[in-house]
Amino acid sequence: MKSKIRAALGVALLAGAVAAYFSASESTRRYIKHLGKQVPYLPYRYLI
Amino acid sequence: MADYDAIVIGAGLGGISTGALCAKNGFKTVILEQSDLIGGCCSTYEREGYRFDIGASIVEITQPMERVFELLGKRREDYIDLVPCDPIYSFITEDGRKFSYPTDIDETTRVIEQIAPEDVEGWKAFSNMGMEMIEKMMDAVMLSPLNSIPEALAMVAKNPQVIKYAPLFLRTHQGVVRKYYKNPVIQGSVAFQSYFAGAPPELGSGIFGFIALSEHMGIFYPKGGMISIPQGIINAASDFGLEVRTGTKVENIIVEGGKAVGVRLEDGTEMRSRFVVSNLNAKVTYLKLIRPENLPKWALKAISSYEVSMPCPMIYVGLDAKPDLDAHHTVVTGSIDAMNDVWNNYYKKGVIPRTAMSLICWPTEADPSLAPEGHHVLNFLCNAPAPYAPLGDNWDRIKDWYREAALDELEKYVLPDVRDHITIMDVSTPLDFERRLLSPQGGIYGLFSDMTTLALFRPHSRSRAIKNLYLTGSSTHLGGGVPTTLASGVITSSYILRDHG
Repeated sequence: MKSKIRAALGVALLAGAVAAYFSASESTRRYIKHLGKQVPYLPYRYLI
Repeated sequence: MADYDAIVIGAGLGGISTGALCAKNGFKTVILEQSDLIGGCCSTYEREGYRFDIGASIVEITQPMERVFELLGKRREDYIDLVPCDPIYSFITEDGRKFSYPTDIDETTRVIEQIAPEDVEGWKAFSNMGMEMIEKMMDAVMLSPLNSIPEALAMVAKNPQVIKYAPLFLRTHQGVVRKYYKNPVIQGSVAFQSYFAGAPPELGSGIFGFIALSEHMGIFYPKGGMISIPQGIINAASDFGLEVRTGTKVENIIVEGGKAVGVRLEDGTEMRSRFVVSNLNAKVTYLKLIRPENLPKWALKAISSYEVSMPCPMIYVGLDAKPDLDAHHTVVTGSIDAMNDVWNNYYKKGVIPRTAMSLICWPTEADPSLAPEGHHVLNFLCNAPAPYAPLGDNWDRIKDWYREAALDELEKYVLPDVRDHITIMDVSTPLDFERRLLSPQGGIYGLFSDMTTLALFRPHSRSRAIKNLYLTGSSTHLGGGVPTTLASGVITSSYILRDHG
């Protein structure tokens, strides 16, 4: 039962995030996309 | 046996301030500069009696410069004569409206009241909070080493007020501007400064929103041209034996056993040192001077992930008459959306923008000695940023076309009869900047700057990939600009002193 609640919460959060993304302005979406491209490199950048 | 304690590659402000402070602390130091001019972007060249500033046009936030002189044990006033410039900016909007921002905050309030009464409260709230923040954060952030989480935590522990301002770092520049201002003209007048840090308002950090405010602490022009700043520091350090060699190009940094041990010059000469400081763009330092085969894989991945900063062509003009301008800086500006449009639909697509966005600098207003008597100098950038390879073309081929197009813009918005008074004119394209400054793609601020590439996430002043290698200048710490690159010199030299003092 608990795992089903967790899965439902996860789906709801994901759906919320997707809805927030598509309801954001084009400019905000570009910013989110930009961050999405940069964030994976942060651990490497922190080291150099 | 080392020839020097410190070899500094590049005589930009970062290299010169680091070199000067090394010399002051007893290190035998040489600065090697490939071009014939010192100062990097903060430099001045002379032609036919006119002196033109290559890039940087004023200095704001003078504390890092004062700190360099304080650490040298010298008085800045004895070496650099700073002339205050007031008003800070004169603005021309696309529809021809003109207004100026004086240095004085209360007088600026009156200007805003005339244009947009609805934004007066926002301006007051912004300036009260912002001035307090700038004063409290100056030492905490700008002049503190921030290369690691422990250093960042130590900075916060020492300056707990920083936490209050943390949300500003996480917002975008346009987010901060739109929070305080409603009128598009006022928004435009405090949003274009994002490009001073090399990013459009939608990507720049919210902290860039305070560049405009910091200028109300005063902006200054050094008598003799912008080169007077690096020259003043070199002169102040001459007592300590600082050696500067221009026209000396470094081919590579010699790495032995994972340590930087010297440099090899273009002519094959080897120079050995206890440590090496690079003031070049970090990508050039790691990928060309150190070379990928000497780097750990993680370092290669890190340095390859950075985008270089935007290029920005400059035009230098000598006039035989006084230009009809009101301030040291005149800005042709538009809305925030127009500024983002320049980035997304022109610059990123390799097209030279055709919207009004220009900065005209009039240095002879502050220092008439830069031109023959009765003559004047204008240094301006037009429709910036411009792509490195416009539609796959080459700047050497389109230089003449660009110059005429830029003059058209200048005539249209600022000086209708400028062509009648031009006595001399030069253009510096992104290719010229690349050749002169060894800056990839002619980028003028080192690396692209946003919250994912500053402080902890910008190449560190003390390299973790190569022992005894230090970096300084616009690729490090807080990015490009006169105050930030001077601050990088203070920080890099503090690491060197800790490691080798």
